[in-house]
Amino acid sequence: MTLVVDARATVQGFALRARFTAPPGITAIRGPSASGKTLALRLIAGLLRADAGSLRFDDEVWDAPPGAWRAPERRGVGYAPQHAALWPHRTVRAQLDVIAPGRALDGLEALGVGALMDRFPAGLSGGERQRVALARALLRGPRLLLLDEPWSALDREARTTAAQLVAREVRARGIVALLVTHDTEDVDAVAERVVRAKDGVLSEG
Amino acid sequence: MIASLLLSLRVTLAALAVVIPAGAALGWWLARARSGWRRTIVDALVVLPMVLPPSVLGYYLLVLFGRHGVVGRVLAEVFGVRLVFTAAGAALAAGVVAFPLMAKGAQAAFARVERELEEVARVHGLSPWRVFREVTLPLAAPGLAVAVTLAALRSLGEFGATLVFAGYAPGATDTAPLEIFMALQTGDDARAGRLVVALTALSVATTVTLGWWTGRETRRGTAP
Repeated sequence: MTLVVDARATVQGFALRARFTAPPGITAIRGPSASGKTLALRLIAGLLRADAGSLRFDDEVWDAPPGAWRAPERRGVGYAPQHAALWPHRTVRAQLDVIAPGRALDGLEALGVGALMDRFPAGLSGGERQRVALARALLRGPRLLLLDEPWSALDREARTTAAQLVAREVRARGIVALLVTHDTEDVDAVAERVVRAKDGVLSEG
Repeated sequence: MIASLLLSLRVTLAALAVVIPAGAALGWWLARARSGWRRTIVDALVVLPMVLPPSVLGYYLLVLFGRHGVVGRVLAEVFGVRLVFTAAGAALAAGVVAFPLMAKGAQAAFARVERELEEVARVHGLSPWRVFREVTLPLAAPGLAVAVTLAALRSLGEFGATLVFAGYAPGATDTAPLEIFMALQTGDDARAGRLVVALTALSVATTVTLGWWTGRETRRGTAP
């Protein structure tokens, strides 16, 4: 399982150029705000289409204009966007049920989501929302995990727990994870590799 | 009096059967389509029935769907369908005036649904149709309910375009609003008064119910 990105995209005048490879394990995408980190995740998730180049996962072509494109729902991605983006009309239980009916939170107990099951997002704190978003991203057993500052609202202790849980899941399942962050402490703690983002250009090293 | 109220309800339901799906679909397109001349033109045209005088609208309907109208002639000769002096004609007039309320209301309702909430659902394996059903529709529901209610009350109260286009035909086009007018013309003030009370009660009951329901949805956190 390896993600190979070599693509260009443009969004409202902002040019994104991403060129990196992510093998199984956690790859951090580090860079200042507005450097294209979130856009890169959107491109990889299939929410933004490449103008040129290609996006591959294993032997699958996900995006290679003008022809090939794989729909987001067929990429097997787990995604925790920056502000959690929980569905306001669904309880926590219903958030999880709609994407993975009947799937239990096995191995995800440490996120502490079990106690929040009957609550609506409006009644959750920022940290609780992020933990639910993490559980939602992991629940379906994704091949590729996209985490956009997934613990920015968690306190230090919860952050460590969440980071360790993500690292353990990624290792146990042998999947690829991209972790967007501008907190170097997080990066040092769990990431094995770093991709740097600057002015819309993402590259290794 | 009961007959004209029932006819009004029938005409309204017939109009809504077309106006709700078509208006919701157009509203969705207006909320989601990329901005450009195409959307700008449609966005402007859709409100025309709302801003044109009803008599002008009725005139256009006659020109199009009347016995010698462009469409009306085809309908009459090929399908044997006549709209002038029929309940179907009254429903067409009611539908045309109600359509903008449904379409613009649906547009506002869909525009309020954050795209990111739909995108996350899609990434997590839901097909576009399921995203619509599980995320978009429930989040737009309170706004859509408002649009449906306004469209229903507008077509229930439709008068001008109906009179000009469908005419006054007892048993076919004499909906409650037309009946009020005719009762006053013939000096039957009591009859007009009863219909006025009935229509007022119906409108107030509907809007109060709607207000209660959307208020409950908002408290539950369902509506943004």
